[in-house]
Amino acid sequence: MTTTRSGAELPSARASRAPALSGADPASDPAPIPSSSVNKPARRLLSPRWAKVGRDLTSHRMRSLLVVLSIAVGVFAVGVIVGTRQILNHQLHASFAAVNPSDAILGTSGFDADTLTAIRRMPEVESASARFSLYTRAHLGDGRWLELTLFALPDWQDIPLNIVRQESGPWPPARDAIAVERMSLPMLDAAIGDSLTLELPDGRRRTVNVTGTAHDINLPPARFTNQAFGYVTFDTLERWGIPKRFTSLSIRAADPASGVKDHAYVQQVTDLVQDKLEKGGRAVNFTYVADPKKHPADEVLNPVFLLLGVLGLLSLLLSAFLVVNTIAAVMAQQVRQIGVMKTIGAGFGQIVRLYLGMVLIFGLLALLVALPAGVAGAYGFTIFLSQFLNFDVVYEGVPLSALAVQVLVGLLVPLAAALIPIYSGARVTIREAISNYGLGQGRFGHGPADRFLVASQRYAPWLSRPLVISLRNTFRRKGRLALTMTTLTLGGAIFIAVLSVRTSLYQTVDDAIRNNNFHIVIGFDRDLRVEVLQNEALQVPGVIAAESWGRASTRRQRPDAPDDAGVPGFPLSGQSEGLGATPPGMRGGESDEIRLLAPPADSQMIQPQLTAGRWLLPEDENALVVNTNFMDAEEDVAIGDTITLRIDGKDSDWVVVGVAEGVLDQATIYTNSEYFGRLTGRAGRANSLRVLTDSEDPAEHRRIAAALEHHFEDAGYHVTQLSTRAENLEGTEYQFSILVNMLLVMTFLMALVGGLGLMGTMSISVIERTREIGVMRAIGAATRAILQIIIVEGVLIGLISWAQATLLAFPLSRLLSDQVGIAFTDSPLSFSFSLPAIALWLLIVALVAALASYLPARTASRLTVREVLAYE
Amino acid sequence: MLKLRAKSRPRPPAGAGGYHHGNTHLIDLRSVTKSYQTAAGEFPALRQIDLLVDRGEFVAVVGKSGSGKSTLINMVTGIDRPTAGQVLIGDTAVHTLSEGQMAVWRGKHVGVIFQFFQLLPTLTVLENVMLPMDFCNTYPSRARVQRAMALLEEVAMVEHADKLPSATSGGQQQRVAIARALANDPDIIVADEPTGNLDSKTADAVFQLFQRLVDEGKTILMVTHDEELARRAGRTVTIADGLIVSDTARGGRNGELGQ
Ligand SMILES: Nc1ncnc2c1ncn2[C@@H]1O[C@H](COP(=O)(O)OP(=O)(O)O)[C@@H](O)[C@H]1O
Ligand SMILES: [Mg+2]
Repeated sequence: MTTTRSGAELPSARASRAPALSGADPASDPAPIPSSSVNKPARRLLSPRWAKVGRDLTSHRMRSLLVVLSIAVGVFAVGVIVGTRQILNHQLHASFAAVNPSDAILGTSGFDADTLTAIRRMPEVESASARFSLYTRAHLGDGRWLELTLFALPDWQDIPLNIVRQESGPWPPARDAIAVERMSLPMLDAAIGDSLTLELPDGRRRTVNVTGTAHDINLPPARFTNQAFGYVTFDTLERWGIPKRFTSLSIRAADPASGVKDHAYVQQVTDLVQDKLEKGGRAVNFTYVADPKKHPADEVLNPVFLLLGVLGLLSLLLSAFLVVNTIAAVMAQQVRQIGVMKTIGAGFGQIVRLYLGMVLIFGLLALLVALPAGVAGAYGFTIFLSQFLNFDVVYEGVPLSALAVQVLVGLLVPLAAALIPIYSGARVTIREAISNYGLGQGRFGHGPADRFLVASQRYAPWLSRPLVISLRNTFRRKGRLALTMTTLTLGGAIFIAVLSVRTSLYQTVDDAIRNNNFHIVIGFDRDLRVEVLQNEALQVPGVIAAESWGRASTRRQRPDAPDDAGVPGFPLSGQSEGLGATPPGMRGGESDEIRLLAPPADSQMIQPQLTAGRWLLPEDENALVVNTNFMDAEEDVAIGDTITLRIDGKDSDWVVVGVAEGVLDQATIYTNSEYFGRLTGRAGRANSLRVLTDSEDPAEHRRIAAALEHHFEDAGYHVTQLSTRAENLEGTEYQFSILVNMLLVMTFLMALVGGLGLMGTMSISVIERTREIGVMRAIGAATRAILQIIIVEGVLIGLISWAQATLLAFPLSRLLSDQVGIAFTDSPLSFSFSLPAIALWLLIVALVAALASYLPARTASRLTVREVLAYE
Repeated sequence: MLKLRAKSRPRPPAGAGGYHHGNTHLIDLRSVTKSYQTAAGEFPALRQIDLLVDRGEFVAVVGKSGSGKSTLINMVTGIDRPTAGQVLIGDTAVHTLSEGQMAVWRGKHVGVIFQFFQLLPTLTVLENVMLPMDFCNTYPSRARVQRAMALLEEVAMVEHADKLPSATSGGQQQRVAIARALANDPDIIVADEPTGNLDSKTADAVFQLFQRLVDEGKTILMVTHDEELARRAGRTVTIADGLIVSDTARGGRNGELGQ
């Protein structure tokens, strides 16, 4: 680019020397140039060709604005997602690493400080932490309870692994005081200084003072699981008669002598620790092995970001379509100018650079908006996520890699999009450009669609003339139409698909309910006779059925796998033998924990969806129906197989007769309650009751639950657990709603890009047809008629895209719903296509189209005939 | 003193046979044929045209509409290429240039003037005149404004330098277009019906400008419908159906018959 002298210097320089052409007759033109007419410094800032680019941009402000906004939206979306990812990677992982996360956690029946010391001494264990946990429920007032897990720590200041930090108040909490985990506090409806009534598992109630808060990044988001967490000292527990012991053990494996510390290695160390505990007579209820160096939420966050990232890129792609349309229109509109420029010496490369420069300016202007908005959005989104991930977001400056990605895509995507129209536009020969043998302005009349439209007039003479013009105009620029249509269609299809994911998520919850169709669960402090419990429950108004289900936690005893595929031996220090990972399915030994449910044979509260085999029959004895979650974990099991389960330490054989769909479920097996009762020696007795009411209203369930508790307490039975269906689903629905909202935001951005695309296309069309509009005006078209012709065209495009979007939405919704399900619940969601979404999109697209074409139409209808016919 | 000429090019005396390709004239069309493919088959717009134009000549090209005038002068500007034959201009065999070479060559050696002026609507008068220097990177960028102003002075458009073309009249626009054509100090000016869109008084002013340029040593090829103007040019070439049917010179400085 050539820049020039400063503005101040020029007038005098020019006035001082009256220029003459080729010195032919210097005397004949001595007049000094009047400085007033040339003293415009602005024109010297840019060389003429860049001045042209600038003015082309500003002379079509609306068009430029739309393109810039459209790119900005796409770049913003990408920026927010990449930026959030970067901030999270840094801050979440830093916060997480700061608490010394453990490699594995073992849940036990209880162990003491000596055992902890012994485990810490194991050469394979680098460090270990222990905790005691107690499941209680906290009274929230007006009869509502919330599950609250109490933790006690052996040492409050020096915690080797999974560090809990004091956030406010005394640490450790004083006697009879509780420090509540900070995310749980709002759920308890309590403030610091309040007292809180806790009910212990045995039904005793104790009051504690909320004196402070703690921060424990390792806990699941309280709102997701609908439970609270708090910390008390062993001192407090001892006053409640609970002896000091530990129930969970966190370990970090020592670095292996050779090889990397991977999941399989940590699993082996965990197995060793488990062996040690079990040999010492402690039962291990569960083990959890983390993926080293990963935050537990990564498993959920990765698919979220993938999904949002794909949508972000898609919106960027759609904005690129508008760039293509706009630049193609600019090139078409400026054919003559290109011809002239070539005539006066501009080369192909210069012309290409000129228009690429224009696109670059679009990109730069878009970045001007998108960069700050993207950074703000990234922090905003991170803060939003931090509410669930329980870490503190600090401003650490602009996320640089996100910025780089934004700059890159903000400039490259439009440039790449513009390359083809610019190349083909710049290739025009001078003769084509200048002579009348050049390009027509959009070809109508060729191709089957055009012939059909022309013929339609013959067969549908009732179509009004303006409508016919709209129809034909729609198909005049087929390439442009295709891109606009694609933008709107994709936007619409994704909109419908996201709403379908939403209905599928709720459908999934409904299906889950069908598998567990009861409204209230009550737990008691001991086994009671089932008939008595049922009779008492049925006396409470609103209760229509009550059942007791047998329940147990069990593990499958896997058949021993061939020879050396058994539990691999742990390599002693220095020996790396047998370190290879064994595929879980091949491993002998025990399965993970499996839930066993034993509903009565005539249960009204379970309506399983069978995927294979049959449901339980009343006469079945050791028959089992397993759910699909079980099948996922124990892949070798088939219908008709006999499997061995260890229940209460005793092994028994069972025959698998059916597989039921597990919806939002864990690995579960079902058997008849009668046989199960006999097997476990608890026939006719149970410590819990499931209740069905005559209402579907969650508030009514809540009311009846309170009435039931009163009733049982009055009758002398002690209730230790009480929850309604809504409460149990709250966490799940909450998680779903977050996901849906994030998707909806992206959908909104896509719809925005679609709308901008349509508006851009319409204003391009109007600019191109200015002359034509003038002619229509000259032959008497009223303002209304012109408005109508243009708006009808826009709405027509909208409607056609809507029809296409609807068609595309079916497979897309299914795909998205399956993928979201697999990513977040491990199996496809119960698919439910959202018909209202189709109607909603019709409404939106019609409105957007009308608005998008109204603005350019209004501009067009305001032009006077003279202005229009002077238009070049 | 402002240097308005771009560079001094070798200027062999007329008829001395000093050009690279053995041509003795500045413009030498040899057996130029141009055919267009049309729906009705091959259409010959020019048939084996020979034309010699010397430096400093003022040639008016006349003929009926569709006779091939534009096609002929497009051969000289390189806007169109011959189907057969040679186009030699100065040291350049124009018909052999690539599109990119052609643009550079044309920008420096030929000034083109159109019937509809074709000023870029978003550039001011001054910027329009500067544009060829910008594209061809002739003249140091700081000298361009001054040169453009000098050219506008020449065509009496200085006081309109900062106006957009749309704010000026047709005659004024054509004068700006002439100034633009002169920007890189080309030897040859080619104008296709430059006065076709102007009233006779304005047309006369434009013609006088041309006359002055010829006096200053430029070579001009001008297509016109105006017989009166054609007569006043030094030489008139008449085209009919793609053939030169007459070529007459009037007495005067350039009074030499091309053929
Ligand atoms: N691109 C083209 N394709 C087909 N025919 C053309 C083309 N350009 C010019 N012609 C034809 O060539 C003839 C000469 O055209 P032109 O030189 O423009 O005529 P003039 O300038 O004398 O009016 C005309 O008959 C015209 O129809
Ligand atoms: Mg012509």
